[in-house]
Amino acid sequence: MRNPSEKKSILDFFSFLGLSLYEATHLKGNRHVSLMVLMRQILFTGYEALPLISFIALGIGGLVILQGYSLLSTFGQGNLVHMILVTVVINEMSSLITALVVVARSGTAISTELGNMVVHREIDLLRSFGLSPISYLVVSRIYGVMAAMLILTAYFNIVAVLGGWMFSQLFSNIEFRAFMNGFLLELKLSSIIVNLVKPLVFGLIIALVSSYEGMSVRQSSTEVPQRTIRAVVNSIVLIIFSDLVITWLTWVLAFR
Amino acid sequence: MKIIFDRVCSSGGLQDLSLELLVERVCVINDSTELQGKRILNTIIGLDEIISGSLTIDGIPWLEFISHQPMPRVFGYVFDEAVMLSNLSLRENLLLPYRMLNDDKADDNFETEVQDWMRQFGLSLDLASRPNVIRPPELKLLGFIRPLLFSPRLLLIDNPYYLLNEPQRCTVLEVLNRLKSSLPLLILSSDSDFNRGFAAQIIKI
Repeated sequence: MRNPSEKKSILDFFSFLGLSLYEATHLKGNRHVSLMVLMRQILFTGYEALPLISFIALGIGGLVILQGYSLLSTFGQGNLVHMILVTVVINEMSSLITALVVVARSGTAISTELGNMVVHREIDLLRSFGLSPISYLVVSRIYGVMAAMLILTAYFNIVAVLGGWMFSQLFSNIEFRAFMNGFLLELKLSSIIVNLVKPLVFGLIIALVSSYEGMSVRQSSTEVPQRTIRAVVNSIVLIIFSDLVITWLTWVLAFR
Repeated sequence: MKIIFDRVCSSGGLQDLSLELLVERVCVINDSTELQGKRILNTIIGLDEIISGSLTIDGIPWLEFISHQPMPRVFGYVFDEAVMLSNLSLRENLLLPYRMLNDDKADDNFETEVQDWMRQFGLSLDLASRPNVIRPPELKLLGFIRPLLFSPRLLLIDNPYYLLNEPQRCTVLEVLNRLKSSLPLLILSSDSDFNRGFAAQIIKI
Protein backbone atom coordinates (compact mmCIF):
# COMPACT_ATOMS: atom_id res chain seq x y z
CA MET A 1 0.00 0.00 0.00
CA ARG A 2 1.46 3.32 -1.02
CA ASN A 3 1.23 6.59 0.69
CA PRO A 4 -2.00 8.07 -0.69
CA SER A 5 -0.39 11.46 -1.18
CA GLU A 6 2.25 9.94 -3.40
CA LYS A 7 1.69 10.88 -7.04
CA LYS A 8 2.00 8.44 -9.90
CA SER A 9 4.80 9.11 -12.33
CA ILE A 10 5.49 8.00 -15.89
CA LEU A 11 8.03 5.55 -14.42
CA ASP A 12 5.20 3.81 -12.56
CA PHE A 13 3.43 3.28 -15.87
CA PHE A 14 6.54 1.81 -17.50
CA SER A 15 7.11 -0.38 -14.47
CA PHE A 16 3.50 -1.62 -14.73
CA LEU A 17 3.92 -2.06 -18.49
CA GLY A 18 7.10 -4.08 -18.09
CA LEU A 19 5.64 -6.31 -15.39
CA SER A 20 2.41 -6.89 -17.33
CA LEU A 21 4.22 -7.73 -20.56
CA TYR A 22 6.63 -10.01 -18.72
CA GLU A 23 3.78 -11.93 -17.09
CA ALA A 24 1.79 -11.95 -20.34
CA THR A 25 4.69 -13.57 -22.17
CA HIS A 26 5.48 -16.09 -19.42
CA LEU A 27 2.22 -17.97 -19.28
CA LYS A 28 3.68 -21.45 -18.98
CA GLY A 29 3.09 -22.75 -15.48
CA ASN A 30 1.47 -19.49 -14.40
CA ARG A 31 -1.74 -20.67 -12.73
CA HIS A 32 -2.66 -17.18 -11.65
CA VAL A 33 -3.92 -16.32 -15.14
CA SER A 34 -7.62 -16.94 -15.14
CA LEU A 35 -9.29 -18.52 -18.16
CA MET A 36 -12.64 -17.47 -16.75
CA VAL A 37 -11.62 -13.78 -16.65
CA LEU A 38 -10.27 -14.13 -20.21
CA MET A 39 -13.48 -15.66 -21.56
CA ARG A 40 -15.64 -13.09 -19.78
CA GLN A 41 -13.52 -10.30 -21.29
CA ILE A 42 -13.88 -11.67 -24.82
CA LEU A 43 -17.62 -12.08 -24.29
CA PHE A 44 -18.07 -8.53 -23.01
CA THR A 45 -15.61 -6.74 -25.30
CA GLY A 46 -16.27 -8.78 -28.42
CA TYR A 47 -19.63 -10.51 -28.53
CA GLU A 48 -21.69 -7.88 -26.71
CA ALA A 49 -20.25 -5.09 -28.90
CA LEU A 50 -21.36 -6.76 -32.15
CA PRO A 51 -24.71 -4.90 -32.57
CA LEU A 52 -23.08 -1.48 -32.12
CA ILE A 53 -20.17 -2.38 -34.40
CA SER A 54 -22.64 -3.69 -37.03
CA PHE A 55 -24.59 -0.44 -37.00
CA ILE A 56 -21.46 1.76 -37.20
CA ALA A 57 -19.79 -0.40 -39.88
CA LEU A 58 -22.89 -0.45 -42.03
CA GLY A 59 -23.23 3.30 -41.76
CA ILE A 60 -19.54 4.04 -42.37
CA GLY A 61 -19.38 1.67 -45.35
CA GLY A 62 -22.46 3.31 -46.87
CA LEU A 63 -21.30 6.87 -46.18
CA VAL A 64 -17.85 6.28 -47.65
CA ILE A 65 -19.35 4.80 -50.82
CA LEU A 66 -21.89 7.62 -51.15
CA GLN A 67 -19.32 10.39 -50.57
CA GLY A 68 -16.66 8.62 -52.65
CA TYR A 69 -19.01 8.06 -55.56
CA SER A 70 -20.32 11.64 -55.54
CA LEU A 71 -16.71 12.93 -55.55
CA LEU A 72 -15.26 10.51 -58.10
CA SER A 73 -18.20 10.63 -60.49
CA THR A 74 -17.58 14.37 -61.06
CA PHE A 75 -14.28 13.28 -62.66
CA GLY A 76 -15.91 10.34 -64.42
CA GLN A 77 -14.05 7.90 -62.15
CA GLY A 78 -16.99 6.38 -60.29
CA ASN A 79 -15.53 2.90 -60.82
CA LEU A 80 -12.63 3.76 -58.48
CA VAL A 81 -14.97 3.77 -55.52
CA HIS A 82 -13.49 0.42 -54.35
CA MET A 83 -10.14 2.11 -53.91
CA ILE A 84 -11.75 4.58 -51.52
CA LEU A 85 -13.39 1.72 -49.63
CA VAL A 86 -10.10 -0.12 -49.18
CA THR A 87 -8.02 2.96 -48.41
CA VAL A 88 -10.42 4.64 -46.03
CA VAL A 89 -12.35 1.83 -44.38
CA ILE A 90 -10.12 -1.24 -44.48
CA ASN A 91 -6.75 0.47 -43.97
CA GLU A 92 -7.78 3.10 -41.51
CA MET A 93 -11.27 3.48 -40.16
CA SER A 94 -12.17 -0.10 -39.26
CA SER A 95 -9.46 -0.58 -36.64
CA LEU A 96 -9.65 3.02 -35.44
CA ILE A 97 -13.42 3.14 -34.98
CA THR A 98 -13.46 -0.33 -33.44
CA ALA A 99 -10.77 0.81 -31.01
CA LEU A 100 -12.80 3.89 -30.06
CA VAL A 101 -15.88 1.73 -29.45
CA VAL A 102 -13.82 -0.67 -27.33
CA VAL A 103 -12.31 2.24 -25.36
CA ALA A 104 -15.80 3.61 -24.71
CA ARG A 105 -17.26 0.27 -23.64
CA SER A 106 -14.49 -1.94 -22.31
CA GLY A 107 -11.76 0.56 -21.42
CA THR A 108 -14.12 2.39 -19.09
CA ALA A 109 -15.46 -0.90 -17.71
CA ILE A 110 -11.97 -2.27 -16.98
CA SER A 111 -10.81 0.93 -15.33
CA THR A 112 -13.97 1.26 -13.22
CA GLU A 113 -14.00 -2.38 -12.18
CA LEU A 114 -10.35 -2.47 -11.16
CA GLY A 115 -10.66 0.91 -9.42
CA ASN A 116 -13.60 -0.35 -7.38
CA MET A 117 -11.69 -3.54 -6.59
CA VAL A 118 -8.87 -1.44 -5.14
CA VAL A 119 -11.29 0.66 -3.07
CA HIS A 120 -13.05 -2.45 -1.74
CA ARG A 121 -9.67 -4.06 -0.95
CA GLU A 122 -10.26 -6.95 -3.35
CA ILE A 123 -6.76 -6.45 -4.78
CA ASP A 124 -5.36 -6.70 -1.25
CA LEU A 125 -7.36 -9.89 -0.80
CA LEU A 126 -5.73 -11.46 -3.88
CA ARG A 127 -2.30 -10.40 -2.68
CA SER A 128 -2.96 -11.86 0.76
CA PHE A 129 -3.42 -15.24 -0.99
CA GLY A 130 -0.07 -14.72 -2.71
CA LEU A 131 -1.86 -14.31 -6.04
CA SER A 132 -0.48 -11.76 -8.48
CA PRO A 133 -3.21 -9.21 -9.35
CA ILE A 134 -1.33 -8.47 -12.59
CA SER A 135 -1.50 -12.11 -13.70
CA TYR A 136 -5.02 -12.73 -12.46
CA LEU A 137 -6.66 -9.49 -13.56
CA VAL A 138 -4.47 -7.70 -16.10
CA VAL A 139 -2.93 -10.45 -18.24
CA SER A 140 -6.33 -12.08 -18.81
CA ARG A 141 -7.74 -8.71 -19.87
CA ILE A 142 -4.81 -8.00 -22.21
CA TYR A 143 -5.41 -11.25 -24.11
CA GLY A 144 -9.18 -10.84 -23.96
CA VAL A 145 -9.22 -7.30 -25.36
CA MET A 146 -6.60 -8.09 -28.03
CA ALA A 147 -8.54 -11.13 -29.24
CA ALA A 148 -11.82 -9.21 -29.21
CA MET A 149 -10.28 -6.28 -31.12
CA LEU A 150 -9.01 -8.64 -33.82
CA ILE A 151 -12.40 -10.31 -34.21
CA LEU A 152 -14.36 -7.04 -34.11
CA THR A 153 -12.11 -5.34 -36.68
CA ALA A 154 -12.47 -8.26 -39.09
CA TYR A 155 -16.23 -8.19 -38.52
CA PHE A 156 -16.30 -4.40 -39.04
CA ASN A 157 -14.54 -4.82 -42.41
CA ILE A 158 -16.98 -7.45 -43.61
CA VAL A 159 -20.06 -5.46 -42.58
CA ALA A 160 -18.63 -2.20 -43.98
CA VAL A 161 -17.96 -3.79 -47.38
CA LEU A 162 -21.46 -5.28 -47.43
CA GLY A 163 -22.86 -1.90 -46.38
CA GLY A 164 -20.87 -0.25 -49.14
CA TRP A 165 -22.33 -2.60 -51.72
CA MET A 166 -25.87 -2.11 -50.38
CA PHE A 167 -25.59 1.67 -50.56
CA SER A 168 -23.96 1.50 -54.00
CA GLN A 169 -27.26 0.05 -55.24
CA LEU A 170 -28.78 3.49 -54.73
CA PHE A 171 -26.86 4.99 -57.60
CA SER A 172 -25.54 2.11 -59.68
CA ASN A 173 -26.92 -1.33 -60.29
CA ILE A 174 -23.59 -3.05 -59.76
CA GLU A 175 -23.70 -6.80 -59.12
CA PHE A 176 -22.36 -8.14 -55.84
CA ARG A 177 -19.79 -10.35 -57.59
CA ALA A 178 -18.51 -7.46 -59.68
CA PHE A 179 -18.39 -5.20 -56.63
CA MET A 180 -16.40 -7.79 -54.68
CA ASN A 181 -14.06 -8.44 -57.61
CA GLY A 182 -13.27 -4.73 -57.79
CA PHE A 183 -12.79 -4.63 -54.05
CA LEU A 184 -10.52 -7.69 -53.92
CA LEU A 185 -8.39 -6.30 -56.75
CA GLU A 186 -7.70 -3.23 -54.65
CA LEU A 187 -7.06 -5.21 -51.47
CA LYS A 188 -3.32 -5.71 -51.04
CA LEU A 189 -1.34 -7.94 -48.74
CA SER A 190 -0.09 -4.89 -46.85
CA SER A 191 -3.71 -3.94 -46.05
CA ILE A 192 -4.36 -7.38 -44.60
CA ILE A 193 -1.18 -7.30 -42.51
CA VAL A 194 -1.98 -3.81 -41.24
CA ASN A 195 -5.46 -5.04 -40.37
CA LEU A 196 -3.95 -7.75 -38.22
CA VAL A 197 -1.33 -5.60 -36.54
CA LYS A 198 -3.39 -2.51 -35.68
CA PRO A 199 -6.16 -4.23 -33.71
CA LEU A 200 -3.61 -6.15 -31.66
CA VAL A 201 -1.62 -3.01 -30.86
CA PHE A 202 -4.77 -1.00 -30.09
CA GLY A 203 -6.14 -3.82 -27.91
CA LEU A 204 -2.87 -3.97 -25.98
CA ILE A 205 -2.95 -0.21 -25.43
CA ILE A 206 -6.58 -0.20 -24.26
CA ALA A 207 -6.12 -3.09 -21.82
CA LEU A 208 -2.84 -1.80 -20.41
CA VAL A 209 -3.84 1.84 -20.01
CA SER A 210 -7.27 1.04 -18.56
CA SER A 211 -5.86 -1.55 -16.15
CA TYR A 212 -3.07 0.78 -15.08
CA GLU A 213 -5.45 3.66 -14.40
CA GLY A 214 -7.89 1.37 -12.57
CA MET A 215 -5.19 -0.08 -10.36
CA SER A 216 -3.79 3.39 -9.69
CA VAL A 217 -6.84 4.26 -7.59
CA ARG A 218 -5.68 4.50 -4.00
CA GLN A 219 -8.40 4.77 -1.40
CA SER A 220 -11.34 6.90 -2.39
CA SER A 221 -14.22 5.97 -4.67
CA THR A 222 -14.17 9.53 -6.05
CA GLU A 223 -10.87 8.64 -7.72
CA VAL A 224 -12.57 5.97 -9.82
CA PRO A 225 -14.32 8.28 -12.35
CA GLN A 226 -11.23 10.51 -12.49
CA ARG A 227 -9.05 7.54 -13.36
CA THR A 228 -11.61 6.29 -15.86
CA ILE A 229 -11.54 9.64 -17.67
CA ARG A 230 -7.75 9.47 -17.76
CA ALA A 231 -7.94 5.92 -19.10
CA VAL A 232 -10.15 7.06 -21.99
CA VAL A 233 -8.10 10.16 -22.83
CA ASN A 234 -4.72 8.41 -22.60
CA SER A 235 -5.96 5.40 -24.58
CA ILE A 236 -7.24 7.60 -27.41
CA VAL A 237 -4.03 9.64 -27.54
CA LEU A 238 -1.86 6.52 -27.62
CA ILE A 239 -4.09 4.82 -30.21
CA ILE A 240 -3.90 7.81 -32.59
CA PHE A 241 -0.15 8.07 -32.05
CA SER A 242 0.46 4.37 -32.66
CA ASP A 243 -1.85 4.49 -35.69
CA LEU A 244 0.30 7.26 -37.15
CA VAL A 245 3.47 5.26 -36.48
CA ILE A 246 2.11 2.04 -38.01
CA THR A 247 0.71 3.85 -41.07
CA TRP A 248 3.97 5.74 -41.54
CA LEU A 249 5.98 2.50 -41.27
CA THR A 250 3.67 0.80 -43.77
CA TRP A 251 4.03 3.74 -46.13
CA VAL A 252 7.84 3.73 -45.80
CA LEU A 253 8.04 -0.03 -46.38
CA ALA A 254 5.59 0.05 -49.29
CA PHE A 255 7.47 2.79 -51.18
CA ARG A 256 11.00 1.50 -50.65
CA MET B 1 6.78 -18.34 16.11
CA LYS B 2 9.13 -15.43 16.70
CA ILE B 3 8.63 -12.39 14.47
CA ILE B 4 11.32 -9.71 14.66
CA PHE B 5 11.06 -6.30 13.02
CA ASP B 6 14.48 -4.70 12.92
CA ARG B 7 14.34 -1.00 11.96
CA VAL B 8 11.71 -1.69 9.34
CA CYS B 9 10.42 1.04 7.04
CA SER B 10 7.52 -0.09 4.87
CA SER B 11 5.58 1.29 1.91
CA GLY B 12 2.54 1.38 4.19
CA GLY B 13 4.14 3.85 6.57
CA LEU B 14 6.18 1.94 9.18
CA GLN B 15 9.10 4.13 10.20
CA ASP B 16 12.16 2.46 11.70
CA LEU B 17 10.07 -0.04 13.62
CA SER B 18 11.89 -2.44 15.90
CA LEU B 19 9.60 -4.95 17.55
CA GLU B 20 9.69 -8.55 18.73
CA LEU B 21 6.51 -10.62 18.62
CA LEU B 22 6.52 -14.02 20.26
CA VAL B 23 3.46 -15.82 19.00
CA GLU B 24 3.46 -19.09 20.93
CA ARG B 25 -0.31 -19.30 21.14
CA VAL B 26 -1.90 -15.88 21.05
CA CYS B 27 -0.28 -12.49 20.69
CA VAL B 28 -2.48 -9.41 20.78
CA ILE B 29 -1.44 -6.04 19.45
CA ASN B 30 -3.32 -3.41 21.40
CA ASP B 31 -3.30 -0.28 19.28
CA SER B 32 -6.05 2.21 20.05
CA THR B 33 -5.58 4.01 16.71
CA GLU B 34 -5.22 0.64 14.90
CA LEU B 35 -3.09 2.36 12.28
CA GLN B 36 0.32 1.12 13.34
CA GLY B 37 -1.03 -2.33 14.18
CA LYS B 38 -2.60 -2.59 10.74
CA ARG B 39 0.71 -1.64 9.14
CA ILE B 40 2.45 -4.38 11.12
CA LEU B 41 -0.04 -7.02 9.95
CA ASN B 42 0.10 -5.73 6.36
CA THR B 43 3.89 -6.01 6.37
CA ILE B 44 3.83 -9.56 7.72
CA ILE B 45 1.28 -10.69 5.11
CA GLY B 46 3.16 -8.89 2.33
CA LEU B 47 0.58 -6.25 1.44
CA ASP B 48 3.11 -3.55 2.31
CA GLU B 49 6.64 -3.76 0.95
CA ILE B 50 9.66 -3.55 3.22
CA ILE B 51 11.72 -0.60 2.03
CA SER B 52 14.54 -0.90 4.56
CA GLY B 53 15.39 -2.89 7.66
CA SER B 54 14.71 -6.57 8.10
CA LEU B 55 11.81 -8.78 9.07
CA THR B 56 12.68 -12.26 10.24
CA ILE B 57 10.44 -15.12 11.28
CA ASP B 58 12.01 -17.76 13.49
CA GLY B 59 15.36 -16.32 12.43
CA ILE B 60 14.62 -16.75 8.72
CA PRO B 61 14.30 -13.67 6.46
CA TRP B 62 10.63 -13.03 5.55
CA LEU B 63 11.05 -13.61 1.81
CA GLU B 64 12.78 -16.94 2.35
CA PHE B 65 10.23 -17.97 4.96
CA ILE B 66 7.28 -17.53 2.60
CA SER B 67 9.01 -18.95 -0.46
CA HIS B 68 8.78 -22.64 0.50
CA GLN B 69 4.99 -22.91 0.64
CA PRO B 70 2.03 -21.08 -0.90
CA MET B 71 1.21 -17.96 1.10
CA PRO B 72 -2.18 -19.21 2.42
CA ARG B 73 -0.41 -22.21 3.95
CA VAL B 74 2.00 -19.90 5.78
CA PHE B 75 -0.13 -16.91 6.80
CA GLY B 76 -3.90 -16.68 6.98
CA TYR B 77 -5.35 -13.19 7.10
CA VAL B 78 -8.76 -12.17 8.39
CA PHE B 79 -9.59 -8.69 7.13
CA ASP B 80 -11.39 -6.28 9.45
CA GLU B 81 -14.00 -5.61 6.77
CA ALA B 82 -15.87 -8.35 4.97
CA VAL B 83 -13.70 -8.47 1.83
CA MET B 84 -14.84 -10.81 -0.95
CA LEU B 85 -14.44 -10.74 -4.73
CA SER B 86 -17.79 -9.33 -5.79
CA ASN B 87 -17.91 -11.02 -9.20
CA LEU B 88 -17.59 -14.52 -7.73
CA SER B 89 -20.04 -16.56 -5.69
CA LEU B 90 -19.23 -17.36 -2.06
CA ARG B 91 -18.14 -20.87 -3.03
CA GLU B 92 -15.92 -19.53 -5.84
CA ASN B 93 -14.47 -17.03 -3.39
CA LEU B 94 -13.55 -19.76 -0.96
CA LEU B 95 -12.26 -22.04 -3.71
CA LEU B 96 -10.26 -19.42 -5.62
CA PRO B 97 -6.95 -19.83 -3.76
CA TYR B 98 -7.20 -23.63 -4.06
CA ARG B 99 -7.78 -23.43 -7.80
CA MET B 100 -4.98 -20.96 -8.31
CA LEU B 101 -2.54 -22.92 -6.18
CA ASN B 102 -3.46 -26.21 -7.81
CA ASP B 103 -4.31 -27.80 -4.53
CA ASP B 104 -6.11 -31.09 -5.08
CA LYS B 105 -7.22 -31.21 -1.49
CA ALA B 106 -10.03 -28.81 -2.40
CA ASP B 107 -12.10 -31.19 -4.44
CA ASP B 108 -12.04 -33.97 -1.86
CA ASN B 109 -12.53 -32.12 1.38
CA PHE B 110 -13.79 -28.69 0.52
CA GLU B 111 -17.53 -29.12 1.10
CA THR B 112 -17.10 -31.10 4.32
CA GLU B 113 -14.62 -28.64 5.78
CA VAL B 114 -16.65 -25.58 4.84
CA GLN B 115 -19.83 -27.02 6.33
CA ASP B 116 -17.97 -27.92 9.50
CA TRP B 117 -16.54 -24.42 9.92
CA MET B 118 -19.89 -22.82 9.06
CA ARG B 119 -21.52 -24.86 11.80
CA GLN B 120 -18.87 -23.75 14.29
CA PHE B 121 -19.41 -20.09 13.37
CA GLY B 122 -23.19 -20.49 13.43
CA LEU B 123 -23.59 -19.74 9.74
CA SER B 124 -26.22 -21.03 7.39
CA LEU B 125 -25.61 -19.65 3.92
CA ASP B 126 -26.24 -20.64 0.32
CA LEU B 127 -22.70 -20.73 -1.05
CA ALA B 128 -23.98 -20.17 -4.57
CA SER B 129 -24.99 -16.62 -3.60
CA ARG B 130 -23.01 -13.55 -4.56
CA PRO B 131 -21.42 -11.58 -1.71
CA ASN B 132 -23.58 -8.51 -2.37
CA VAL B 133 -26.72 -10.34 -1.20
CA ILE B 134 -25.16 -11.44 2.09
CA ARG B 135 -25.10 -9.26 5.20
CA PRO B 136 -21.64 -7.88 6.13
CA PRO B 137 -21.46 -9.66 9.54
CA GLU B 138 -22.02 -13.02 7.83
CA LEU B 139 -19.40 -12.19 5.21
CA LYS B 140 -17.05 -11.27 8.02
CA LEU B 141 -17.57 -14.71 9.59
CA LEU B 142 -16.88 -16.31 6.20
CA GLY B 143 -13.73 -14.21 6.20
CA PHE B 144 -12.63 -16.21 9.26
CA ILE B 145 -13.39 -19.49 7.53
CA ARG B 146 -11.53 -18.72 4.28
CA PRO B 147 -7.98 -18.71 5.73
CA LEU B 148 -8.77 -21.55 8.15
CA LEU B 149 -9.44 -23.88 5.19
CA PHE B 150 -5.72 -23.75 4.40
CA SER B 151 -4.50 -24.61 7.92
CA PRO B 152 -1.95 -21.77 7.96
CA ARG B 153 1.04 -21.71 10.29
CA LEU B 154 -0.06 -18.34 11.69
CA LEU B 155 -3.46 -16.67 11.60
CA LEU B 156 -3.46 -12.87 11.57
CA ILE B 157 -6.75 -11.29 12.59
CA ASP B 158 -7.44 -7.61 12.10
CA ASN B 159 -10.06 -6.39 14.57
CA PRO B 160 -12.01 -9.64 15.11
CA TYR B 161 -15.12 -7.94 16.53
CA TYR B 162 -15.58 -5.34 13.80
CA LEU B 163 -19.04 -5.56 12.15
CA LEU B 164 -20.25 -8.27 14.56
CA ASN B 165 -23.12 -8.10 17.05
CA GLU B 166 -22.94 -9.43 20.60
CA PRO B 167 -23.94 -13.09 19.94
CA GLN B 168 -21.64 -13.26 16.93
CA ARG B 169 -18.78 -11.86 19.05
CA CYS B 170 -19.37 -14.60 21.61
CA THR B 171 -19.27 -17.23 18.86
CA VAL B 172 -16.01 -15.85 17.47
CA LEU B 173 -14.42 -15.72 20.91
CA GLU B 174 -15.50 -19.30 21.55
CA VAL B 175 -14.01 -20.54 18.26
CA LEU B 176 -10.77 -18.61 18.78
CA ASN B 177 -10.51 -20.03 22.29
CA ARG B 178 -10.68 -23.53 20.81
CA LEU B 179 -8.27 -22.65 18.01
CA LYS B 180 -5.54 -21.09 20.10
CA SER B 181 -4.25 -24.41 21.39
CA SER B 182 -3.57 -25.68 17.87
CA LEU B 183 -2.96 -22.55 15.79
CA PRO B 184 -0.84 -19.50 16.69
CA LEU B 185 -2.93 -16.31 16.48
CA LEU B 186 -1.75 -12.74 16.02
CA ILE B 187 -4.66 -10.44 16.77
CA LEU B 188 -4.97 -6.69 16.35
CA SER B 189 -7.59 -5.53 18.81
CA SER B 190 -8.07 -3.07 21.64
CA ASP B 191 -11.13 -4.99 22.85
CA SER B 192 -11.04 -6.07 26.49
CA ASP B 193 -12.01 -9.67 25.63
CA PHE B 194 -8.65 -10.14 23.94
CA ASN B 195 -6.62 -7.98 26.29
CA ARG B 196 -7.61 -9.68 29.57
CA GLY B 197 -6.47 -13.23 30.03
CA PHE B 198 -6.89 -14.35 26.43
CA ALA B 199 -3.40 -13.67 25.10
CA ALA B 200 -0.02 -15.00 26.16
CA GLN B 201 1.59 -11.77 24.99
CA ILE B 202 0.09 -8.30 24.67
CA ILE B 203 1.94 -5.60 22.76
CA LYS B 204 0.68 -2.13 23.54
CA ILE B 205 1.38 0.44 20.86
